[in-house]
Amino acid sequence: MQIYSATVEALHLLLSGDSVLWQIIGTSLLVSLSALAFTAPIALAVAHFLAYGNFIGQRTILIVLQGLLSFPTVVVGLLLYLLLSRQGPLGAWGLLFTPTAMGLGQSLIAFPVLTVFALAALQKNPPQLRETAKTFGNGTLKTAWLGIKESRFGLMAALLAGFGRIISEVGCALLVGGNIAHYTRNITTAIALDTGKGLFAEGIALGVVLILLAVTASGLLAIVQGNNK
Amino acid sequence: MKTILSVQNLHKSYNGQQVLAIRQLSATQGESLLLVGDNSSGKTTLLKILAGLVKPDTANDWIFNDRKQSPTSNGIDGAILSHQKPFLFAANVRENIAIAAKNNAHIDEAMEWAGLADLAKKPAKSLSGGMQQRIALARIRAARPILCLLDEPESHLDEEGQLLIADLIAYLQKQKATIITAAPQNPLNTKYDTIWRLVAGDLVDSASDSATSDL
Repeated sequence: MQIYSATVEALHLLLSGDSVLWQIIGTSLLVSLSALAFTAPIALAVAHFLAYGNFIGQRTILIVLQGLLSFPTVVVGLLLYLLLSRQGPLGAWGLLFTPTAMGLGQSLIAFPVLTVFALAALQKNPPQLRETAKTFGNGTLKTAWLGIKESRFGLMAALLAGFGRIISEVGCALLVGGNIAHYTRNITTAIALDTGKGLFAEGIALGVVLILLAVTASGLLAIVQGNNK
Repeated sequence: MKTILSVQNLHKSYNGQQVLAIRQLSATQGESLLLVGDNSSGKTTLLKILAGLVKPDTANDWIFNDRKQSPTSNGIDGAILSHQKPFLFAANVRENIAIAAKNNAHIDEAMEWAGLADLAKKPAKSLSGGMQQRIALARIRAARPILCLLDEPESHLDEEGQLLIADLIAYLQKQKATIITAAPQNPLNTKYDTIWRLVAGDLVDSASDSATSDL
């Protein structure tokens, strides 16, 4: 019964436009989307380099990246905390317990996911794609762009996988964000706090938003893929 | 006719296995050459090397279009390779042809020639196999190559496509392009100025069975 009444209250909070709740959701989206926008071009460049480059250590880098896919986010948070804390090597930047620190952490978490998924998407392209682009006089950048366009659905899946991983992580955000109200409190850290305080309605409301975000992202991908058929 | 392409000691190995060991090859401007050889004899590798898409292990005194050519895998300006099964991009018909052309006039002319003018905005991959063949051929025409390397061009063509490629080859020759066509055997219905046969990695003149270096 408690779950039922908490859920009803949660929906009421969401629909009534509770400002605290929506600010938390806003922080989550802002931090995660910024981290994704910052990391995606770097991950794509690295994936491209791994897919088409020919250098020593290529396989080792890939193995390390695959290993990092399941790296505990709380450990990423711990390492970043040590770097950003006042005594740490980057302490002078004054970033600890800021949304920027949370974004940095999420970038580190998203990087291997985006790179490995983007690499898989690029590797699906047949070799004839790049050969055709090159033989008709297209330079390195145009050839790369044609490959990216051809892999766009796989690359979108990479973005969604990265988004799913960072929007739902709690360990790193809690450590480097500090869960400060109206500043660094995001969906996952708020759920952890609310549950601890017995505020189940707020927790469920935020949980519903998380699920809705995931469903919306998957739905968007399905629509885009459907339009291509 | 002036020599458009010449190279000596062209070698290529994959995983320690020698695929090509050509002592010398040369082709003149406007020449039509047929490259025959069994499956896995190295025909495609040779075409890709000459198109600058695969680096040879060695290639001495490589001259193309009066310029010294270094081994590259980034393509060579003026030399184009048409794959056995041409690749079309996930773009519309015009964009697929535009990838190869230097200007709009070349695109328009090639589309008109291939009967694709009314399909410019259609996604290339949504069209029938026959239409996709036309796009691939129009793309070659729009590129206006100096050296055109065709890898078994008739293997995936229907009758209409074969007529179109015969017309394309005639057009390219009129433009003084050199054409090297790879095929598993000598097609009876097409005339070539020169026939190269790939045997044990080297080129052998089909008529005399002597190496091309002796020609």
